[in-house]
Amino acid sequence: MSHPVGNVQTLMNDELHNDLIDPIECGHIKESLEKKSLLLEESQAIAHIGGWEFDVQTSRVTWTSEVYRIHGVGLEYNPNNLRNNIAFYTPSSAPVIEEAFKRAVENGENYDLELELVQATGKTIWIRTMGRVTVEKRAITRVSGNIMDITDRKLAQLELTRLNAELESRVRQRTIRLETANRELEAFAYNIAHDLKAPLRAISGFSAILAEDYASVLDDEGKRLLGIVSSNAERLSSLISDIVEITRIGMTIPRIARIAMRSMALAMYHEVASAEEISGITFNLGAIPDCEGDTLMMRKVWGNLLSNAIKFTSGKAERIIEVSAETSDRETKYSVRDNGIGFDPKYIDKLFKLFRRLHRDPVYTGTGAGLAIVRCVIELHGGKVGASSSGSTGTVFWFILPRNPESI
Amino acid sequence: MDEHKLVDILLVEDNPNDAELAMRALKKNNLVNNLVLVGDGETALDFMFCRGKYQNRDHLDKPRLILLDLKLPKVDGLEVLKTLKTHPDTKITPIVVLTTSREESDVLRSYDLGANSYIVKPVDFDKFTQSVRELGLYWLLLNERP
Repeated sequence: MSHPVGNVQTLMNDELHNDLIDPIECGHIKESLEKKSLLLEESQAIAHIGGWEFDVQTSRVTWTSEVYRIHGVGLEYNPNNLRNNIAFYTPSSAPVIEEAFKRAVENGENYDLELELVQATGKTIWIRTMGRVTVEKRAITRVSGNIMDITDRKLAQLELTRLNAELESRVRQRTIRLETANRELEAFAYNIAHDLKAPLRAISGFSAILAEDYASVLDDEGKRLLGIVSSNAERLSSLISDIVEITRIGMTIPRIARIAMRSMALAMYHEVASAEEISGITFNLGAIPDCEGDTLMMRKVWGNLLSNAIKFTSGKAERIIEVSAETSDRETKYSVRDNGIGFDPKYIDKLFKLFRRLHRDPVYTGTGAGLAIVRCVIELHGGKVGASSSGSTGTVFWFILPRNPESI
Repeated sequence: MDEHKLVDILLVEDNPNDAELAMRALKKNNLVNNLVLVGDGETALDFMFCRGKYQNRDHLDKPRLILLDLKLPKVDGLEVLKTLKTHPDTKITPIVVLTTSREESDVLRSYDLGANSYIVKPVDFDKFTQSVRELGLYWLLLNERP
């Protein structure tokens, strides 16, 4: 023996090694392993999560007991036949899991799917299954993953989706009903206007014909009385137009576009003022900024405010109308100032109400709808209206529009 | 009214009072020699296409102007407008929509369908007479026929 010591040493090493795996110690490890395995099984059962593994080389499948439970089978079930495993899935889910598993094994693609599975007992459940690929030395050696029972969560989610859809369809139905009601109201307003105006036209027309054809037999008082008939017919006609207009504005959703307010104010001034008024009035139009709003509606705002200013300065020797604006980050305040007769500040609450007129003087004609229309339009645009008057020295009517159209 | 004479105006109006007022306004301005009044859209179309009770009418005798109310029994005004403005025999006849409706959609729709003019009937008779006078002057006297 040339190296007896060495042999002894080897022997000793072996002995030493055997010493390490002493049966008691081994028992401890085994016990600890079993304990851990049990713990894992328990937590899987509680969480309804099972673990599985597919060994690519041997084609062997390993399931934890929770996987058996999820499939509704006993531990005697043999999971090695993949066809049988896939057969648990519903007809719509089976091809999905088959394809995903195939891609995992062949291409190394992980997957995470929510599918429907029919347990051996016949109960359909929802599961989430995840597959992860292990690559060793550039070969796919193993696919492992979890499978969990998510039926409760999935049913709740499906119920939520169903309820949402139901809610949406209910909102849709209500919207349709509301739109129909709006259309009917609009048609009603339209018909009212049409049907009420025809007899008015007859009243006005035939009293005019009477006044004309029977002028020789009517005395002045007769003619005056006929005049009252036709002027009231005309007035009723304006009231009807205003009611229809304000009803319609209240039902309209503004179509928002950029409006060059300065050009619009100028155009509306020329539309509402007569040639004599234009030459007799000093019209100061400042550099007012653009706004975002409904063009047709905003024209009514300027039309009404400017014609009011023209109307209420009519008695003055020097007539001045000023249009200006102040801008802050969030809003623009547009003002129309005139040096007309003004109003008593204690009546300010009544100014913007429909058919409230502060001036009974027949010189200042109008139905009292103009400012109500202005308020309606501005409020539809998310803005505010107001006025102030320093008695006999003039009046300011203003409206504030938000600069950000999103806030409408 | 003598229907063998050339027709100047076809007035399509269902309200007899409105019709009387319109005719008076036209006569007063010496604008009309021969006016035909029909009370609904279907009769208006029968007249224009020489059908029904107008089947013996001369096809070549087209009115110089049609005054058309929009709210009509049977076939409504917009439908009459559409039919006349899409038919080769009638599309060149000027049509003035004369109606109570100031409805924006009616105005746009009327022009879209080819109306030559759109006039809102005023309640005030003097204004009404003036409107009729102006439209008559323009369409019957000033405007050159094609």
